[in-house]
Parts: sequence; structure tokens; C-alpha cells
Amino acid sequence: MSTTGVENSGVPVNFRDPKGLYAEPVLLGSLTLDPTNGGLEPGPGGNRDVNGGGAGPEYSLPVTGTSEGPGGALQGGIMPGSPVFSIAFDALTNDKEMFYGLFMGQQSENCESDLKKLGVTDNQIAMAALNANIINGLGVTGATTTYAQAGWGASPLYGSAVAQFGSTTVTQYMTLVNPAAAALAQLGGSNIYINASWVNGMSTSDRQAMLLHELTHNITGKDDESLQRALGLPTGAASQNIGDRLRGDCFK
Amino acid sequence: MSIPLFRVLPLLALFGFATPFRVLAQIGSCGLRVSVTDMYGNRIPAERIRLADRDGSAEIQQDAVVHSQCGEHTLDVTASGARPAKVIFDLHQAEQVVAVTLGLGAVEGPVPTCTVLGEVTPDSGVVRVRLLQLFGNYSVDVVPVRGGFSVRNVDCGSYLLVAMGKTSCLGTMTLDITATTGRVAKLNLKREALNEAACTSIRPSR
Repeated sequence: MSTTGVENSGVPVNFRDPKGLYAEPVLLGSLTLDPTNGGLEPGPGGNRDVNGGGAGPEYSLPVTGTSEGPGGALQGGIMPGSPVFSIAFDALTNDKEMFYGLFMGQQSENCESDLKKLGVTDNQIAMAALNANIINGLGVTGATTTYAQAGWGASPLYGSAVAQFGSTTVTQYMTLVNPAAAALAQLGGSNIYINASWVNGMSTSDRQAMLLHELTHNITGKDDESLQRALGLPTGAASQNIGDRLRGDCFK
Repeated sequence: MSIPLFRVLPLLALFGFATPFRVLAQIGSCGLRVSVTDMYGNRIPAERIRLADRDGSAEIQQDAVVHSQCGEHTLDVTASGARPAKVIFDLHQAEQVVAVTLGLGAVEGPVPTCTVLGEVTPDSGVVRVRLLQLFGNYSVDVVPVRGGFSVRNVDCGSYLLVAMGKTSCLGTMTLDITATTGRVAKLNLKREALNEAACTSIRPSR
């Protein structure tokens, strides 16, 4: 499949940024001001020994490496890329536009089979791609939006999410609670919050599979466990297995 | 327009044999009503409720009375944003309420759980602590050790705590365990903190 997004495949960006163009990486929980978009920007990765443990409709990456300095690898070889949100935003916007055209038509047999199991149609994906809002999970909006609102704001479980997550923001969640979270979709809504570092470290097909995964959350309102069950995948594993399946079946 | 019975019967027979799933026995002396809430008792609109008994299964509506044969049943419930729930229960009443509580959907590992920590004063007489989920079916008993007790890794939500003496209920306490308390409920089961009236014996009238 042709791609129109920004390609970072196999070229992990050194987020120590030797050219000094971007903010220095920050340790887990600390915040720096990113001069490129004026937002509070926690650095990428953080303590990547920490894996998951959170809950919610986010796209989390299983951590396999150690956190000896920057560049700890994630399963599948995903490394943190540039922390600049605009790069990830542009790439995902291109992907969205490409999805809108692509999913107006029929996909491969395997891809259609997956979509059927997930309970979504091509047309729903095309429309969800058109309407999706890509938001900086580590920017001003992420720092002022609660995790409960971001994930369950359009769900009947919102009250329960508020009770359980309280005032934890998206930024806090992506840096302190689950630093391996690359994206967080609003269940039954149109918002997708991202950690630009992880998105920019992905190959084009990984990124598009992640976007399709998040759009599925937007459309169906289902959590990762439900999506994993629908696809016959292990439910105890990180949600990246959903994207891996979709990448293999839809974005080869 | 009417169709001769001899033409319909073979079709019905064929349909009966070809149906892959047998349908739930709809007639029986027992009945149920499915209540679907979150852990705090807020009604959640279920996306799908499937009820199964030993003869088959059928999709049913929440809050509607469904008649079925008495005995063991299974409910599978899904709702947007929630982790799917499966409840196995024994149906033995004419209009039994089956309370299904849905937790937040899990990703990457367990949903954050909650903890109840308590102190028990020596003069309280509490020898066992029972924690009952108010809107679901979960319950657990723990024994205080060295003046304290703990119940860990339970779903956050609303609970009724019952302080038990050797042969009697000593008092109760209701708990809402949320993020505002750090997902931990810290209690001191002093007699005056318990609702002793809730344990007052009522002699049933004839």
C-alpha cells in the first residue's frame, strides 16, 4: 500500500537531539517547555522499565529493553523518535486523508475479515478518519484534560472513570502512569491523544496500524480487551498486538 | 393467503435441524431481570446481554423480566467502554434480579484496583470482616490479625462492610472507594463508627 505520511521507518531519531533543535529529554515525571509548539512537553520514553499497568483505551507498547539511557527499544524495534508534535500530527493527518480515500473501497480479504470481527465497516473507518482530531497528549490540551475525560468522555462509564482516575491528566498518564502509551482514543468519540515521540519512532505501517486501531476505539467504543478477543488475540498482552495484526492484514 | 400445513411442516422440521444453536427455554416457573450498572451503581446501557441455560441461549434486554427454567444460567454482558462481564448464577426465584457490574475496560494489564485497610480495637469484638459489593455479586471475608485487616486487589466501587462477632453481626459501614482517597479506604472499626442498628435482630412475624 502506498503511504503519504512522514517516513521514519528504521531511522530512530536520537532524542538527545545533537543539533539542539528540540527540547532535551526529560526524566519520568518532569516537564520541560517545548519551544517548538509552546506546550509543556514531557520527554519521550521516561522510565521504560515501567510497562503498562494502566487502564484505558490507549495504544501501549510492550517494553522489552532496559532504560539505560535514551533509546530503550520497544517490542517490534520501535524506538522513540522526535518529540515534536507537528511532525507526528502531519504524518497522521496524511494517514487520515489516505484512509478516507482507501476505506471508501474494499480492502484485502484478511483485512475485511479483521474489520468484520471488530464490528466496523470500511465506510465507518473512512468517516472516522475524516473526523478524527489528533491531539498532543503531552501538550497544553493533554495537560488540562483528564484521562477519564479523554478516554471515557463519550462513554456511559465516564462517571466510573472519574471515580477511579480522578484528576489524573493525559500528560500525567502518558508520563507517570504508563510511559509506554503511544496513543489514547476517546471511546465512542473523535479524539485521539498521542505521545509524539513514540509515533515519530514508528514505521509508516506501524503508525497506520495504530491509527486504524484508535479509530476502531472511536467507532465502537470498545476497550482493547474486547478488540483483542474479537480478533482472537491474547488479552493479557499489550495492545500493540492489535496493531500488529492490522498491520499484517491491512498495511502490508 | 394461507399455506397448506403439509408444505410448512417439512420446512419447519428442516429449520429445526439446521439451526446451529438451540434457543433458550423461554417458559419456566422462574424469571429474572438483569440490572447493569458500573461499580458505583450508575445504570449502564448494555450493548448486548446473552443469557444461556442448559438448553440454549438468547439475547435479552436489560431491566425486562425474562421467564426461564429454574437452575444454572450464564450471562454475558458487553457495554461501550467496559470490560466484558460473565456471570454464572443459579436462578430460583419468580422475579430474581441479577446484578451485573461492569468495570472499566482494561488495557495493558489490570485496571487499577482498590484496597481496604482497617484497624480493629481489641474491645470491639470483631473476629471477622465481610466485604460485600453493593451493586455486584462479589463478597469476601477476612480475619483481623494483630489488630488490623486488609482486603487488597478488589474492584474500586461501592461496598458494604460487615463487622462480625463470634455469633453475631456487630455493625456495618458503607464505603465508596475512589481515586480521591487514593483508591484506598482506611477504616477504624470502633464500635461507635459502625452502624449497629443495621445488625439489630428482627424476629419474623408469623
